[in-house]
Amino acid sequence: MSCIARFFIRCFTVALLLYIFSQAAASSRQDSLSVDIQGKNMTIAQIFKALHQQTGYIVFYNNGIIDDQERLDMNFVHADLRKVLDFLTKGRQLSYVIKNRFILLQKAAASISPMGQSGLQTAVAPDTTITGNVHDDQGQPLPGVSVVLKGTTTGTVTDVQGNYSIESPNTQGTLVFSYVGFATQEVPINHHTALDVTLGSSVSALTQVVVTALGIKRSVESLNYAVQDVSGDKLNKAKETNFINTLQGKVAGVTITKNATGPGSDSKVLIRGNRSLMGNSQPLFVIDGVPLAGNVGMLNSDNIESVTVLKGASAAALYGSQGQNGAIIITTKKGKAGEISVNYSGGLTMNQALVLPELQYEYGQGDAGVYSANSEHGWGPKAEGQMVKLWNGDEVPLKGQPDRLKNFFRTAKTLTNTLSVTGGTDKVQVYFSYGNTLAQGIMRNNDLTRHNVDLKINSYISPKLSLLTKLTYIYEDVNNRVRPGDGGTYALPSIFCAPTSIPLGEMQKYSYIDNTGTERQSYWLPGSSVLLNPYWALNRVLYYQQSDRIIGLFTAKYDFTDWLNIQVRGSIDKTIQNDDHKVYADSYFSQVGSDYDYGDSRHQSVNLDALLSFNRDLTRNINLTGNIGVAVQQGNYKDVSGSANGLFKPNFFFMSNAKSPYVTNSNGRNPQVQSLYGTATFAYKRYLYLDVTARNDWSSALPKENQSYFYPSIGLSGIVSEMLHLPSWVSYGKFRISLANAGYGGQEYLDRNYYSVGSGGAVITPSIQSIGTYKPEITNSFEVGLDWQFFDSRLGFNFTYYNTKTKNQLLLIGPPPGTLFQQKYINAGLIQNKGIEVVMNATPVRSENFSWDIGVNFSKNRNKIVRLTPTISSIVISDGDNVYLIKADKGGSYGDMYVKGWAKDSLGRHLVGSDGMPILTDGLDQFIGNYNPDFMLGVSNSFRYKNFTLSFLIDHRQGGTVIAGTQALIDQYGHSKASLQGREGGIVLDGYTRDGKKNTQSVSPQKYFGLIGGRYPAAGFYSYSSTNTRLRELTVGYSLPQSMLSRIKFIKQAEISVVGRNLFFIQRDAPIDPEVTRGVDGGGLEYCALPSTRDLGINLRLSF
Amino acid sequence: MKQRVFSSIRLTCFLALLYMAGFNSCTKKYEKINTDPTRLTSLDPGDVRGLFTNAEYMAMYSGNGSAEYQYAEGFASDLYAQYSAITATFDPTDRYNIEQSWIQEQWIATYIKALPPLMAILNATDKPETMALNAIARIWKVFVMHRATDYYGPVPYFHIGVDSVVVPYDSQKDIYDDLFKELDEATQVLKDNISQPAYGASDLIYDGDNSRWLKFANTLRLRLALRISDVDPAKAKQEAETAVQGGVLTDLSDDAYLKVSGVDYNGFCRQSGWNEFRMSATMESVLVGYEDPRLSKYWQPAVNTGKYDGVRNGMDVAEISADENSPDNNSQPSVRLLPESMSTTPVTVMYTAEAYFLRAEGALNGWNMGGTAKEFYEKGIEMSLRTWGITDAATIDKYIHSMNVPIAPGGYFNTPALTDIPIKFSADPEEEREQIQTQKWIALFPDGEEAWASIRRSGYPKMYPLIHSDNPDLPPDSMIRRIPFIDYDRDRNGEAVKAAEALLKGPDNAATRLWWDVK
Repeated sequence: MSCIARFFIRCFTVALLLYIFSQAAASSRQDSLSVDIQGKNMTIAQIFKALHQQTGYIVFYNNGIIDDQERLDMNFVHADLRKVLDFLTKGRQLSYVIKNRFILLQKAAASISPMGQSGLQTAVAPDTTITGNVHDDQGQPLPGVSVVLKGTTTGTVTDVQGNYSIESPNTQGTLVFSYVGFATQEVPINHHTALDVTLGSSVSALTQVVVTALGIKRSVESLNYAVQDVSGDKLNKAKETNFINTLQGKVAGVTITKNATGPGSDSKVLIRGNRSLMGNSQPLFVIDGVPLAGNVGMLNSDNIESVTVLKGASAAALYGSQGQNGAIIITTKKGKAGEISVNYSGGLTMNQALVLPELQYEYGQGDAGVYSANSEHGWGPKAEGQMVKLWNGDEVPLKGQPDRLKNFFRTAKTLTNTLSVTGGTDKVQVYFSYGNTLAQGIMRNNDLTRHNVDLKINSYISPKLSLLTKLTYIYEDVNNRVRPGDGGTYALPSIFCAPTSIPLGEMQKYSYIDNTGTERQSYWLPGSSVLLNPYWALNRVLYYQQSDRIIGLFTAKYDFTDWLNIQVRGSIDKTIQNDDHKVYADSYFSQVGSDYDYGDSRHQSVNLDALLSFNRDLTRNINLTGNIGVAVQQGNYKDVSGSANGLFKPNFFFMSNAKSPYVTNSNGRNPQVQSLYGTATFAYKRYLYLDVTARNDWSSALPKENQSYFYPSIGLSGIVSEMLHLPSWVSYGKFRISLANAGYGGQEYLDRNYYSVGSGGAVITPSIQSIGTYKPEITNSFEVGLDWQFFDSRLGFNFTYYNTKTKNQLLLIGPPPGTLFQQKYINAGLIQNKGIEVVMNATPVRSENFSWDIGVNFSKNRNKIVRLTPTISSIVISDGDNVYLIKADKGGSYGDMYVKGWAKDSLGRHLVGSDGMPILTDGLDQFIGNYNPDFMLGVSNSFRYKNFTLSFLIDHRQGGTVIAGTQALIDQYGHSKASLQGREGGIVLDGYTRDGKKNTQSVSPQKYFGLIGGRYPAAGFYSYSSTNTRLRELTVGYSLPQSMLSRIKFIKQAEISVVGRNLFFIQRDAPIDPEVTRGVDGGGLEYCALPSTRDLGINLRLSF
Repeated sequence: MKQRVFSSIRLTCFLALLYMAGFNSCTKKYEKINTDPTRLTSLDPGDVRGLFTNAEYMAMYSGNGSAEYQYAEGFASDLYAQYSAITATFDPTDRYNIEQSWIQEQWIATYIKALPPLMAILNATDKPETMALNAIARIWKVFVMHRATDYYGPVPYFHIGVDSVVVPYDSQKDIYDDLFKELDEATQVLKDNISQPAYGASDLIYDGDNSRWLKFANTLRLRLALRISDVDPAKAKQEAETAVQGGVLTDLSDDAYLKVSGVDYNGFCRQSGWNEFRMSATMESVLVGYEDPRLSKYWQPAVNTGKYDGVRNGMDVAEISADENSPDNNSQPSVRLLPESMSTTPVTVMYTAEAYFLRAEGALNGWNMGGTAKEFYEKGIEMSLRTWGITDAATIDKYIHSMNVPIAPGGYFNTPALTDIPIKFSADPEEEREQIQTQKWIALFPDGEEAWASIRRSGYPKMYPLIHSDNPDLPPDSMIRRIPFIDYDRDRNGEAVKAAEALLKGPDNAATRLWWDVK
């Protein structure tokens, strides 16, 4: 293997030189319509492609009017374009028109009259002119659409803006709109003189192209694995500050878990289940070919053209290490030639807490039935309005304050704006956009500001050389990103645990000045061990995070011939982030008075690759396309963080004011991965495709003897509907099958033991034993699928079965501590994920004015830990704060949870002590369930009536277990509605004593919940099914008709929509939103998490 | 013109391809890329000193901002010795509830944090020119291991540091035999190399002073000798007399303290800011009753009442929630034991006062301790008072001869006095024993680990029964005898833990007595 890094430097030198020279060439080149086309046996398609490359003109024609596979010998040197076109149309009953950047081919018999040109007149005398605009379902104008008056030879095509004008002898006829790649639509004129038409894309009408691994565009037909496309438009209808969340329910097999930390939270995305026990199971995010290193949610979703989800290992085989969990490929919008077009998109969303804990408002602050102004509990007397003295001396009537949570949180507003400008010539097209997001969290101190600037330039420097340059800059600052649980701010546990008889207004007096002039916290139990005045927590424990991020991409593509090109690409994703954490004096949990922490981090990832692509017909029936590529990928990071450990001058938050500053550093480099790879697709008669890929990676993370690893894939797909003569109601039929390997080259610095240097010069021994025999992790996957469409593609389904096995996992196991290591890396394990995915679409109604589309996504994944190591049959994956244990057991599955529960006797009856209290199991030893769902289902319906659209998405999740930690906490504190149970008379538990007698002893609820609830509850009492069904999205849209817009000259298109997200549950078992768990990786446990939100908003889109 | 430009492109391409063809070996830099620049891959001879610094920190639960002190000691032996009692509702450990996921931090501190640097030092220093370094590391290892075995009984000892899937446990007797042997050899070596430079400023306890390490080792030997005095009186006598002959801690300047910093801080201080515990009623009864001048050095008056008040051990959630038992109505630690002092107040490793109380008890046993029990008892009290800054001779004298007895704290549980034993040394041998142990208990504060071990062996001072015990093996009026084997080790070393159960005198629970606990 040769040095790829150097190779890249060279590639770039070459690209730069080519660029400079071709710039010179471009500037010296006259605008001319002369072309060079030479070659034997060229297909017409190849000729058109060559024409496009050399002139920038696009050739349009209807299916079937010319056989683009017909072969011709061409020998044109510096020939006039028209000469070539004459040659091509001669003897074919075809004519052509060159207009703007289009070459329109039509049957010569029809009279073609593009706008502004008079068409050939037919026998029918014109008396009515019908005009209108044709656009696609995303509102983009469609140029070159053929518009024909049915039953006549009168026709025209739309211009660059999608406008047409056609003459009709009467107002009763029907116009037929047809366009390559779209379903042909017949529209009755019905006395209209203006007809705007939206063409829907048709699966069968044309080869659909998706962007696959490495940005290689491929026809869907040739793919032998499951991919699913979502248009940016669908994601942007009902926005979130992290757009990835809007994929939920829209792609089969994709599970998204939101991190409940307020606006802009990161999310956990899983495709087809967890594959890696301890490593990363997240898919790779790729934007315009650039693998992202940071949070994908920061991107401006308005710029997204489409998102393609490559689900299987084979889909991602070419991304190697990073792509073994699948890949999510994001394609952004690009500039379009023609007039400058300006688009504005804006939205205002209101967010409100969706599910709040159910509290009790009947009993006041206190314990054992007695009022106490210093109690944190709600076990006091019945609150009947009697006057009591609060901790701060105020006298108030003792009564429940039912709106307290609602009022503590706010209705937050999120405002988004994006302005984009696109335009260009046939040589340079520019897309520029600026977007901002101002998002409030429902916590009153939490908000996010984000600015996104995107510039994308496509330049066709010469007929052979094209360049893409893209630059994205993102600025984001977040005030007080919510940290759930009691890990930092305490505001959530503090409000959930505040006695419900204390009026919010009293809590808002959260501080006072003591006689030394110092601000002190005003709290009902001064010096409490865990809780604070919730308003103190909001105002005096502050956290600020600011990031700058740059994503840059440069791609140069050079066509050697019409069948061979090279693409060289380099990209960088760099984030600089600053964190400031300020804790004011008298925040009880800070032990050193006021305190301050800061962090500075720089993370970047650089990718370089070169890809040689070819596309050749080997024989008349066999076509070979392929790619050979080299790539190198390298990340690095530099983090500095400091803790003040107390401040000299209180509440003055600078490191120079620190009592004993402690700084930690980490900087290093992620593994360098160099790769060599290739793909080959053999197409037989364009209906049978054989696909072979191979990749070899060299990862710097691995020891020398294991550095190189190879993984291949093979797949076959066939278009049954082309091979066999099927009934006409079958529009399309395909099968696919694939076998693939994917390798993962590991993490840096694990092959050796390291000592660190701590403060005071202490030399710290490693607690994790390294793995000198580190091997790459390998995933084998098998996948079969069927894609069928019926009744003119009005009904279709897509079925996939997959089975993946991941072996040689890097596991971090606990050896006996007596070995003097706490953990130890090994390569072992075999994890299996198998499942099915079903995607269905139906269009029950499709007419000019009304259409109805249904989409269904279903997925079911089964995860099984087949084996760990010969000597180990169980590994602790996560120890959830003494509440639960996530263990990987041989024969079990990822996400199995163990908790402390209610002990049972040999007859399976619950055990109760002689005092009437439940007897708990010894430790975290009771299996309570798995947090992953049994299956997921999303059903969307969209209706269109004239210019109105209505769509809604219902999302169902079946099964999985969640632990409701907040419930356990507020039960113990006596604030929950559940804690009302047995207030008068006590609770007699349904259980048996150890000697087999039925329990009759009653216990006080304070004692009972004191045992089972609290911060470290017996979680067996608090586990619930995660099954839920919710109205995930609802949108109502209206686009202003062209007739109205033509009066407002400068607006070309306008659309307004009202959107709702997460509106309500149709079904829910848990007392919480089961989607809200404690963190990106803490599945299954909710504990004082920020409630999820119900969002309602209005969006506006304008094109100028 | 056009022709020329295009031919120059072709020429460039050609040259570029030639240029690219000249590339060479590619993974050459991989080793460098995959080496963490912020950490060490190997140790130089000077790093041995840094390892010892870390071993000292880790053994005292102070290293690198760790929270282990609370888990290992604050929620365990400090409660069992009834120095403090829990006032936080979430914490059940004061009711003899063994929270495995907390107490395991003691195990981790021993095996993962303190022992690895010690074993690395022992491997690197077994050479003539580093014998003093070697001997001091052996002494410190004895200190670390005696604390571990006194928590659990049998622990892995002879086979640690071997890369194996099972690390067997050893019986406490075998471990004690080896601890004595180690101390015997190490003190001999250290004496022979007393002038050899050792850890210098990297030694945060004695600042590289070998002679004080020698005194420390002998005192540790004396402590262990008394520990086995009921199970093997003959060996105990012999070890104790050898230790005293070798020279134990005698002066105030011999007090063993670990220096702390803003990062490696005093674990006791760190936890006391969380308001999760207050002074125990036991301490209240004794210290208030004795009008002990150390009361204000250990604790401060309750915020709300201005009085010294303690809470009972073993309260349930409702009792903890009662006003009278709330943090602000009871005594929190003194300022020098609060978080604001956590980077200045050094960690107690061993007091000179203890050496005198050990000698007092030895003398009472009839051993040759170089003086009488009364002399050592009174010297021990004096030394402890001086340690806490009480230097006025009249005050000390008055205290030593006081007939004050513990008071009845009363309060929420109407608690009676702990005992009626006065300070003034008695003439009755059993009363003398109680007095020595009671004063040793006061003097050891806040070293709950040693205090609990001493209470288990001697039965003194008397302790209040718990208000409630959640532990079915332990009635509220019983003393917890050991920490059961750690689930953390059971999950990782199950076979060995199973086998170790046979080394116990009873079932693997907190009621089973250790080998030396026979009275």
